[in-house]
Amino acid sequence: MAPVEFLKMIWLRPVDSRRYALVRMAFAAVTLLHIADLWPYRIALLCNDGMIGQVTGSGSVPGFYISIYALLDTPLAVTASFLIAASATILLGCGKWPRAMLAVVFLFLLSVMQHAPISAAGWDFILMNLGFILLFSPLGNQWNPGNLLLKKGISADTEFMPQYGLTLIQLQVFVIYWQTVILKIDNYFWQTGDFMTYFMVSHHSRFPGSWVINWQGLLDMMTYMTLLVELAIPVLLWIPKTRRIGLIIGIGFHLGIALLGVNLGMFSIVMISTFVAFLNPWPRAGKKEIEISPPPQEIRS
Amino acid sequence: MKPLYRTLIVALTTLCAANILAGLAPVKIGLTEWLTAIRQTTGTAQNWSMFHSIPRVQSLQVRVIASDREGNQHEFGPGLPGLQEIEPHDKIRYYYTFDRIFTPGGEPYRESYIRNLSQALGKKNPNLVAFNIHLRVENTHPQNTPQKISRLLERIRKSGKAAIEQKDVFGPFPVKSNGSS
Repeated sequence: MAPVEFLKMIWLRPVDSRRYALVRMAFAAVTLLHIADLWPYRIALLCNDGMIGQVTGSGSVPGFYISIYALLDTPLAVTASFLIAASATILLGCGKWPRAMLAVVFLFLLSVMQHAPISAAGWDFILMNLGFILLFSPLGNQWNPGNLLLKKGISADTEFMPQYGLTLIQLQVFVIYWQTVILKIDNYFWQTGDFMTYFMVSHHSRFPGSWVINWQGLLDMMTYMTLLVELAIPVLLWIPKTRRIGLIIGIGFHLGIALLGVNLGMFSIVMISTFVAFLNPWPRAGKKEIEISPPPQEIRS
Repeated sequence: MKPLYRTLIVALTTLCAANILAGLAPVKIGLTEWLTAIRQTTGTAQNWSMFHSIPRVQSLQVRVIASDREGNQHEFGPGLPGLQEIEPHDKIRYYYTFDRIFTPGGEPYRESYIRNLSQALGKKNPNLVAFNIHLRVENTHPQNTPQKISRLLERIRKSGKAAIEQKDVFGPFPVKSNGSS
């Protein structure tokens, strides 16, 4: 099979547009939570007389500085930007002008991180990468929470869209988990199993204390299990037959992080939301399909 | 779907996938400056080093202590604007911000923070003349501890303490009074 035809098959295979609608709604919901999480910090991190000055923000990253906070640097302006972004996520979730609302949301996420990168947490970058992928992906516009999830109102006709957006998100999930494992297995504390013990006495722990020394054996095992789980989750999610177990393990893993760690709830929520890209609740039985030329079955290797 | 759209989708998606997959490339492969700049500008950098090593800090506290013309000391919170009290343990982004401001590489942010802090102190109390920033960190694994003897269990057994207190003082810095440049 020619490489170009292979790529066409990978990226252009038709999938139910409702899958994109689910991803859009999940992204919108999680971003709304993220905005609420950022709210208490907005004045300190984004205003000119806060902790990060204008000049520093603009020179803080390589590349072009693209941030609305170069212009919006007063408490009122920053607060207004948060309210606009929150409104955009709600409209995005409801399928109203989704592409434009997505652009607003992505600009907001990018602006915050470009202005205040030193305040960044891991889930900021996950949301930015997801937002970037969705910017040029199908969004299942005709679906909203009412007609898709609650089965109310007029149901839209089933439409099929090329799967490239979902595949990119799945790929992103793979790389997030596997890159972190690659970095960890080269680290002394992960090799010796010490990581969980140090985590449980750190400022991240919900239950800090010297009790860890009595449970070091169990914590060492949890360290190694973490590596195995992170390697396994994207694979289990990707294979249809193991998807359910992948969801159980993945959700359980991230709920465990949220339980044991303080201030890591948002990270868990964002990662769980990425699992939506793997879900396929609707069998591909519709009559309308995006025509691919040539159709996949005619592509010869 | 029009052939042009199909071609565009395939091309852009393949580029995007290549960028994502580059996240699995060996760390030693350097990226060109322009590629790094594109990634930073578009928010598509692939740096997933969350907890790739141990979190070393058990607690972090920041205090601002300023002195007035009479030599009296006044204590303030480190939060801006308004010199508000901040508990980094409760608000994780403040922890990240302070941690990165006061570590090597954070100098531009430190200078900006000190500048704004100076202005805030001058507005709060025009009688203030200078201030120091006091950083108190409880560290479970100080950087200079040999790894071979650093197992937490051994240290707790020997000393009874899970973390070692480290204090740093930055300053003194002048307080910017109102009207001065």
